[in-house]
Amino acid sequence: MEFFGYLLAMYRYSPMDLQFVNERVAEFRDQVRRRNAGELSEDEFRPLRLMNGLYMQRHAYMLRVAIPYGFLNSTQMRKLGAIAEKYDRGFGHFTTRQNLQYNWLKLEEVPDLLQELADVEMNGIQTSGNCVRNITSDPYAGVARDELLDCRPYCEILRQYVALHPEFMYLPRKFKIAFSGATEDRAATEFHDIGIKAVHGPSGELGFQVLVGGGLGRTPRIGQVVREFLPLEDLVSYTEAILRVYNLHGRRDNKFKARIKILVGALGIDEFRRQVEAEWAPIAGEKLDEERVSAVVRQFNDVVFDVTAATDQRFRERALTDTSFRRWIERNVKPHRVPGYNVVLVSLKRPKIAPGDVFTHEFDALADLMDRYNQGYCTALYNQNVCLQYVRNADLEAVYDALATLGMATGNMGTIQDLICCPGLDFCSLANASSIPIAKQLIERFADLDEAYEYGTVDIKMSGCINACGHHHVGDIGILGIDKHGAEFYQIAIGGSPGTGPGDPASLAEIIGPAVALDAVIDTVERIMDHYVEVRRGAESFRDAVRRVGVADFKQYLAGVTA
Amino acid sequence: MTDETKTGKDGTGVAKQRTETVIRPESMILDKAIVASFTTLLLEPDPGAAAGPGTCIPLVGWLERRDAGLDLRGIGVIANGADDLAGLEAHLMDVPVIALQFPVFSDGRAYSHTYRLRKTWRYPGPIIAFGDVLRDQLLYMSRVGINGFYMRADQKLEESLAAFRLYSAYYQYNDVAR
Repeated sequence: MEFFGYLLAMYRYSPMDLQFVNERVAEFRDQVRRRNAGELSEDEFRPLRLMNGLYMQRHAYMLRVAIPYGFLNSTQMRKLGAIAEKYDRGFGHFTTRQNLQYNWLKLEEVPDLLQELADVEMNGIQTSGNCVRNITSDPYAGVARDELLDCRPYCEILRQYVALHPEFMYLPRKFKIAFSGATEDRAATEFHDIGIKAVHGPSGELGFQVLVGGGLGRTPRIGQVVREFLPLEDLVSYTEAILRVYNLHGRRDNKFKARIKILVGALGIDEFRRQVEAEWAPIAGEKLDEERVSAVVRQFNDVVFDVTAATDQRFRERALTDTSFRRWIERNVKPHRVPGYNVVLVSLKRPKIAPGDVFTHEFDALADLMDRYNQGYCTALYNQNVCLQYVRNADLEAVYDALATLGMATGNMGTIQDLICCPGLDFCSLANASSIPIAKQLIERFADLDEAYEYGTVDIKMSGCINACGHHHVGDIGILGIDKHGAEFYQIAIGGSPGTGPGDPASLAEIIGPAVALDAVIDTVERIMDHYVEVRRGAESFRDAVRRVGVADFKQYLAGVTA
Repeated sequence: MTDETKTGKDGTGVAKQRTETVIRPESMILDKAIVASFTTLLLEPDPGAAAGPGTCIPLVGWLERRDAGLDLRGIGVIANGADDLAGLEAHLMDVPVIALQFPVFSDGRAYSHTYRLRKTWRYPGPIIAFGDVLRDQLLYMSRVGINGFYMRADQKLEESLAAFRLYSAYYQYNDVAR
């Protein structure tokens, strides 16, 4: 079903957006100056830089750049590469929340870097800090076959609304919002402070189901429904009511109990809902008018499609004889709503390279591919890959060949090699343990694609500490790095899922045994896979098998083999 | 008053501050200009006879005096983030000024109190921010409807006025102040 009547590509800045971002850079430049002149203490400066996406990491400053709704154009892609070269060490890192991070920055150079980003319509505004973070959405928005509503205009309306919203810049803690407009939830909305899903209302009209209080971190919670059906026009005022209740009543005495999930848990969802409704009542009349929605929709570029694209089926011939190509088609190419077009996943899961890392020359190469075969765009995914979402059948072979030269055409999407991980001890000052080295080891251990296919779809997620940036709670296999008497240990859990739809409800992974040392992680994962192969029925996936036999069965098996 | 304010060890912004009970800086920012301050904040729970025209007293005491039928002419209200201001709604037209405390600049509750005062209850009088009031938050405070500022002692008032000139437009279409 198409709501806007045509397919939207990418949001382009309005003159107001451009001016706003430039003024934000100027404000931050002055704050950096005052901090370096000793006029601002580090405690006072910290939240100011965080609200611009700038963290102090283990070795240097890290900047988190927002990629709104995952969309990048080729100019931005080249700029990201140029920035990596000029200000960093020649690479950037795609994260699990549609951001790109640079890890080796000097504070005094950051204002110039931000200005370069602003010049290509990018920024790091509210990618950190105790405010509403950059809003994420389905990476296949606008092209997915199962889409009810391309939510991105609504994401953008909400992004504008929360951008430097004077009331909500000093919330008790960070606040993350995700949208899903399709039957399959590819945005992990159940694990966000607010999760918003497009649904049909009682008389078939489109609206949103609103979840609240989901999240990962040290207190993982699945979001609860605060409103079954919210008309589209009430999106902003209802979100505002939730934020106001949270701002006034969220805990501020303990940062580990300050997220909205703790407030929702303490009040219970019914009382929380009552308070939100009471806060909403006086502002419920502030509807989003059609003009406002259309004004935002107009800022999105259109995509032009070739109606004859489906007649070209030549790629099937090559698939008959070229095994690697066939595998790539099977695993890395996804269905598109327009016949003859394809969504091509670009694998950033490569041997010896941290998941999600891209190097300067690769940014340029990808930008060329985007220009030649994908109308100049690409999208960053939640699982640290990117995708080309407008590839014609006729171009599949050329895209494959080009990606293959970059090592990004391995047919490993959704396999055990397609794991996600946080930066861990290599960069992050919060981490207790490494995650990148383990990720590299796992990709190497399961490098044989025949073996990887044997295991079907398996989702490994790894975090270097309980803050759970690697989303280990919702992995088929979740690996959490912990510090045990000064040594790096890993807690391994199975049975998690971000909840992709009715057949795959959200669940939290359960620990399957005592934490293991660094050198035992790979063995443990191997044993888990051995047991899966033993117990599975036919083509049953890992997730389904674990749900059927139970985590306890795996636990018992592992206890047996290690005894 | 809060020149010794510092962020709690866990970073949550729990302030440790010197307890100063009478606050009246020489100058303040009012409606984006520097002027002489016009009210004395008496933070003692019961300021007794010191309360009179040209002072503000804590919310609880103000409501008690109100209930006891005492003269409140010229006496404003002091509130902090944890206060429930709903009890004040019926009496707002009798309140000459409201002072909202920012125990630490990262405590954002007073922003929502201000929103309710201005937007929901239409309070027309001055609202003053005091405590850990710093240049880099002035614009947010101003935009939700705080128009008076007793800035932290080390802040330069003249330079702080630059905060109001940072942006030429905002996205929020329902701001109180612009």
